Amino acid sequence: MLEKGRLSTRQFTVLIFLSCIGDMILIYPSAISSMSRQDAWISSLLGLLGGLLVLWLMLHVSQLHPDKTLVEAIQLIFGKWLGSIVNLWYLFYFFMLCSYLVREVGDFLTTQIFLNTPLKIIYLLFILLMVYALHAGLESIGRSSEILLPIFLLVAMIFIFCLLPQSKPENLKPFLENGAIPVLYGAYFASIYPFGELIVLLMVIPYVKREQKIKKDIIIVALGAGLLLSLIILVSLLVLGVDMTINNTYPTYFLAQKINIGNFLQRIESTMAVAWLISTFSKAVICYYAFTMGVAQLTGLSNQKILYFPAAIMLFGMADLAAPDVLYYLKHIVPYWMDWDLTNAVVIPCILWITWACRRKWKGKS
Amino acid sequence: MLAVLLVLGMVAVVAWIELPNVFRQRQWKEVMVIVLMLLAGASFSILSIILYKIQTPLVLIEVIYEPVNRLFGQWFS
Amino acid sequence: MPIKGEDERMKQSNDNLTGSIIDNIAKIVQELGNSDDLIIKKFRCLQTCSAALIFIDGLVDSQLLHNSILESLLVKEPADSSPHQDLTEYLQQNILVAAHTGTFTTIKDLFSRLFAGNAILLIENESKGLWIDAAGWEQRSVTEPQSHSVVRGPMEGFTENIRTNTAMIRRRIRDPRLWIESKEIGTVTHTTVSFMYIKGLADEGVVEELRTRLDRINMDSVLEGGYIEEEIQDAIKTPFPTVYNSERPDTIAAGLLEGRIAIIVNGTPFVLLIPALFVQFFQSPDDYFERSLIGTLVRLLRYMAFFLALLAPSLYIAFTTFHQELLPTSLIISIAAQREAVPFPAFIEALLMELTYEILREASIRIPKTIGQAVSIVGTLVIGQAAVQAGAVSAAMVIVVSITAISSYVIPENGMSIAVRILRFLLMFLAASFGLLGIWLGLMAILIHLTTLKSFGVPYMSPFGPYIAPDIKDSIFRFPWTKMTTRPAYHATEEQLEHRNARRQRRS
Repeated sequence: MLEKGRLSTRQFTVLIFLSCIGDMILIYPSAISSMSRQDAWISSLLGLLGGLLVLWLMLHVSQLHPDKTLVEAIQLIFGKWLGSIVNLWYLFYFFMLCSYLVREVGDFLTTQIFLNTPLKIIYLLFILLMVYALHAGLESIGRSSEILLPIFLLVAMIFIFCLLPQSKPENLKPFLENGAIPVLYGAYFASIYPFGELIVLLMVIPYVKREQKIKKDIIIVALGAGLLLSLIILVSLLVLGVDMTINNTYPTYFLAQKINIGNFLQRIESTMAVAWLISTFSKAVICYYAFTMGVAQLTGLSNQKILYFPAAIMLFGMADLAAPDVLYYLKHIVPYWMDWDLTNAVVIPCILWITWACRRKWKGKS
Repeated sequence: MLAVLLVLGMVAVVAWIELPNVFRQRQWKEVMVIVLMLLAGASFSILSIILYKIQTPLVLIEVIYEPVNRLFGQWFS
Repeated sequence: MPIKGEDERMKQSNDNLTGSIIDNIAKIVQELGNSDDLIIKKFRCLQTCSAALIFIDGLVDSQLLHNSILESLLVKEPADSSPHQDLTEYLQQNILVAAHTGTFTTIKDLFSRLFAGNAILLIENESKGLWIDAAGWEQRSVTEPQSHSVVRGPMEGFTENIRTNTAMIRRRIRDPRLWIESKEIGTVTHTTVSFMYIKGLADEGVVEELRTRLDRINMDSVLEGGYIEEEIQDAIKTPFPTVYNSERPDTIAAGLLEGRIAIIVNGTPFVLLIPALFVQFFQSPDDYFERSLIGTLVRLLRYMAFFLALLAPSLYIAFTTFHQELLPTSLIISIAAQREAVPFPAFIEALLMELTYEILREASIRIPKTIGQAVSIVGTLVIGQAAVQAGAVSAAMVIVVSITAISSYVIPENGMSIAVRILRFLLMFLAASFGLLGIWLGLMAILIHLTTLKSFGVPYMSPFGPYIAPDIKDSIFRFPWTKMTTRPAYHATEEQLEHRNARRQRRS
């Protein structure tokens, strides 16, 4: 085992919660609403159920080899050569995921808050913080997330409750204007987009202390995360209406700017941004960890800490290259990204499962 | 130009931090992986500075999934 | 660096006593270089054999020497008694009127006993010497502790004498399970360092680890607990203290009852407690002596003051430079008006005022008491006021610095407020460069750093970090005594400490 630290179940569930929300807080309302318009909240709730199924599948696959990470398990089940190819595919996925997260943070901060700061500086700072967190170790990341969770929840609750007075229920009508198909399409997005990317946590799951109820806890926590996302979409639709939600780059930030309690608690959007930074950071750290751990396990290294700095430079470069502009990843690549997520989170794990079952049967026979 | 030099400087700093220990312990696989990653990182960074409009690697993904999407689109519309 | 001649001295010190008193005395006098506080009284012990009583003037109680020891030794033996086999044993058991005595054979032991305030008795033709406890020197009486004062509670503080300190702890915990172990640390000072723990409550692994770390210390001098603290703390470089210290016996006793270990160093009234957690530095004895509700509220106030002391100048810089929209409009207009006149950017202004405050703070420790009051009250006001009127700083900055200063005194433990002082400047720099993002980065980095710290194997941020639900009762809150039914759990990691038999125990 390359990793000596161990996470407790509670720390792992907190990481799942924060990773599930991740960067979704910035782009989720816009993406889903462009599919199903004002029924996006229905899509989101339906998608939550689909997402839990996806999560269940991933957890089941992780239990095939309980003490091996995803990369190791793929090597074991698919064999050396096919396994390496599939692993390269996954490592590419983790790497692009991480660079996209860095890119999203950078775009968000430079277009909304720090208008004059160069993108590269934000990347550099964010990546340096991630490297510091990783050098501190997995246990430290777990403990920090446990401490950060109440802060995140507090900000999220303030966000939701301060906006409810401004909601206009007529924004949700008419229900099912375009029929059920767009809603289902939106539900497909809502189930894959947040939950599919949780596959990175399969690189961490072997290092969680084994306890009985871990599957149940994880499902409950993911349910909570999905509900929070649905709530955010609901608030966004209620307060802003469909068109503003679809056409705004960052609807949640725009919403935060609208918070106004008694003419005193206003213009607090910069402090709200802290919550978005916390969730995106948690997810980015996990993706970074998955990537370096995967490289170390694929090439058989003895120590993955030496890879953190080189991977930082790779991220620094790729964050700019990953997308030519904001619209690319908000609108253009979304369908293709969905399919990619689906492959990685559902199709390949299913194939893994089937292959493992077949191999066991053949071994049983012989 | 200055930015490219800065990037090279960063690569040099990282090499100076990581490589001596690994050399001392004679772990050649690790050295190779680190060097590869640094090269990749340097090339990404320099490309992103010099050539603004370079295709993203995700074009690959687009190319792969284009027929799939078209198929699904035909089923659902 | 070894003292000149130490090698020779080491060789000589392991010598045994010779039977001849003259030789022994000559050796002692030569070692001490004829220091004139060494008193040697030659007499005929029991009126029969030649003997010498050696002691250091100022370290012994002369009355005791005269009335008990010398008087008992100068008694005349009946003329027909046979010579005794083991004279020292006979003296100890039958003749000597002294409560605490013992024998020794080497010169090294002689010196260590001599400087501990014992009187040495050397007898002709005996290979063993006798030491007699006659210690009596001037020391500070038990007074109110200077550093940790409370509104309600005991007003006793430790003194510099190790025996008084251990006795004060024993008076509070009258249980045979309270064990003491002593070591002598410091190659020149030979300071006595004892540690106390309650057998069965303290984690055996931690006790063993402490012994190893204390044995590892190789220093010339141990003048204060701080020397020991630096040597035994875990190896990570950090501004945060991982060893708790206190001048109050009741705090130390409470720590012992939670399963911690107290380290008492001779010569200082500050006693160390290990393992130390982050939440401990925000607990004050007051919380436990007053009612639980006010204890909870004051604790919350302390945490708030911690963040205020850490963040106030950085937030000021960030808000006035980057995020003006976050302040209410009328406030930002008045701050802008004030800052119009100031020639410096917000960061330099804040830095100047903070540095000035740090200078004043250091100076006020050493200012004579008579001028101290005047300087602190009038001086700060005058400096602040004059600076504002001269246009060097804005009035808002003076307010921010004062709030910061006062908040940092709310933290009960000095070690923690030192960490806050250092980190405050780092955060100010980050705020000046990157605004709220910089503050967020700084706070995240501090959080990550805190979660990597361990104090003797226990994670520093328990019970927040590894969330231990029963321990939250005494961290942010102070639950009433009826609800505090469990002792804190110390989950020291298995790899570092091998002998573990700690069990969570319920208070009965």
